[in-house]
Amino acid sequence: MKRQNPRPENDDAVDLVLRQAIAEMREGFSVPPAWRAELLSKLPTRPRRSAFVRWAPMALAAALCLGVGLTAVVKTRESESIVDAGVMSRVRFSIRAPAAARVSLVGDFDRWDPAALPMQRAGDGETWTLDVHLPPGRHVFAYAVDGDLKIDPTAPRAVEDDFGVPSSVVVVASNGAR
Amino acid sequence: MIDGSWIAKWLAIGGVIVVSSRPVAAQGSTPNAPQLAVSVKAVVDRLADSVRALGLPTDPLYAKAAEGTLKGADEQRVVIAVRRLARELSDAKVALGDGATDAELEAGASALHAGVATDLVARLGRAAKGGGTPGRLVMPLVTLADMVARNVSPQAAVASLEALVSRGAGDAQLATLRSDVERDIAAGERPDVAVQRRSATIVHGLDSHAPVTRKPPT
Amino acid sequence: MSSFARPATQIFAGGVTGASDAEVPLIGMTDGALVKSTLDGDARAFTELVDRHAAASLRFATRMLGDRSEAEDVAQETFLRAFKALGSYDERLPFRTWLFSILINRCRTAMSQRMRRERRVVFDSEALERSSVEAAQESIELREELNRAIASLSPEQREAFLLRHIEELSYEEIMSVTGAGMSALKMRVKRACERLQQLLTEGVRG
Repeated sequence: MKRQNPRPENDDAVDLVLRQAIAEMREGFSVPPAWRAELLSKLPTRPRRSAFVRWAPMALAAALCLGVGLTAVVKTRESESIVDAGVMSRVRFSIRAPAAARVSLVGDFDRWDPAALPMQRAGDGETWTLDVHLPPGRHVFAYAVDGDLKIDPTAPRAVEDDFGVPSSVVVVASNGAR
Repeated sequence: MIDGSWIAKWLAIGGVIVVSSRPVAAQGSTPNAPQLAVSVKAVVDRLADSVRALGLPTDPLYAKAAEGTLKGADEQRVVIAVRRLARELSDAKVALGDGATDAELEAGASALHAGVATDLVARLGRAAKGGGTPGRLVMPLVTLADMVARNVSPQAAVASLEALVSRGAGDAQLATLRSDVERDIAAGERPDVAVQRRSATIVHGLDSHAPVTRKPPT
Repeated sequence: MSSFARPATQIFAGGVTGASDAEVPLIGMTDGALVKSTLDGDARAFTELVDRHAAASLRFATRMLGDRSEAEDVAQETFLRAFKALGSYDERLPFRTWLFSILINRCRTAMSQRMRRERRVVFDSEALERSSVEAAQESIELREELNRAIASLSPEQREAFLLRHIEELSYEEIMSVTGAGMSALKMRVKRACERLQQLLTEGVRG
């Protein structure tokens, strides 16, 4: 972005500096998917008459999960389908941690906050699961099990090793992906 | 509640990883949330400004910084990682072009991070051109990164993926390729050989069957 | 190490279907209609409203507060409050204007809270600025300068300037969201423009 060097004596030139500044400030802000997801998940449900629609935006989308530990949950009710390339897909995360007291999901989609996505113990008492809505793309994650970070043993490793502690990867396909 | 003090040790038992400790004092007001250290945040904010000006997504920078903080890395290391990511995102945009989605840029950055040269990433990007849904490059790029991380040579990986992508191979097939190659390498096969063999099978399948999902040529 | 028995990778083929023909696609609905839909119980309608106005909200909050993550918090709060107060929205007013009145309120609250909290941090952040490692100085130089110029405006001037020239609200709309009078607003915008021009031009020359 080259900057102009106008002569201040010239009124037009002064306006040009300001106009350019305004143009820069107007520059499109993209809405972070994590922010959007968090907001939508915080919206209270609002049942009205008989039409109860769940808040979490669900779609007949393909959640492509690398590794057997993750499965796509498909909703079949047509009223919940959304035609939009940016829509989220529901992904189920599971980890076996029979001795754990607390397990949560951390990753780029919740800014690695262990308090954001606590997981629930499944009926068998040994597996912890959580369904999360993720936007299309590659997501890096791990499980925080009683304060320790664990990868998903069945998902591919993230190639980055910036911090000496590995993570796992899940890829969510966008709608209409083959 | 996940508390902030973790014991530093490494366990190499089937994927169980323990995070090294980090002084709670450096973690910000909420001990459990990985709040960025003030100086780290200052650097990330500035990087985000310049990254945003280039039309690149800024969320990955904050996510990277939060990841490093949670994993107990010291501030210098976190900053280095965030800088590196900013550079990789920028290079990915050059390689993939202005039309690339944020998700594709992030996937491209991961391929660059794995050691694939920008011209090879660009080559794969070109192979997928010509119709298709936005974000179609994500899976090929992630597969590329993964294979290179398993010691497939970048050339072999790109050549195979190019052949698949240009024939309209879908994400599902790429996922199968990835896991098959992983298994073969674990069984002792040479990485390049594994990729070539597995992708040839898929190519053959794509060539011989009527392409149900491929778009008609315009 | 596979620690539990699971079927092989499950992929559910795409085949996303659109809304049925009887439904109006959300993209064609007015903001007012979307509000009505939301109140009638359609969850997707509010999502569409969020998608329409989130970017501008984030932009305004970021420029106003000078802090991206604080802006994100404020913007989220704004949408949550808007959602709860949807019943009180009057369709004669543009939705964005109504939303922005909530947003401006949240920003003002955030700023007054911040001023009470961070008086002592100002000195520290200057030290940080000096010590933090140089990024690509060239590409961020203009932005830094711009941020500082904006930050140097008084909150009232900044608010008025951003609403008028960045968010492009009309003066009437700005009056209703800020509660200020017409002449006061015009004066603030004028002063803000003059100040920014002066700072930015000096920077160019200097």
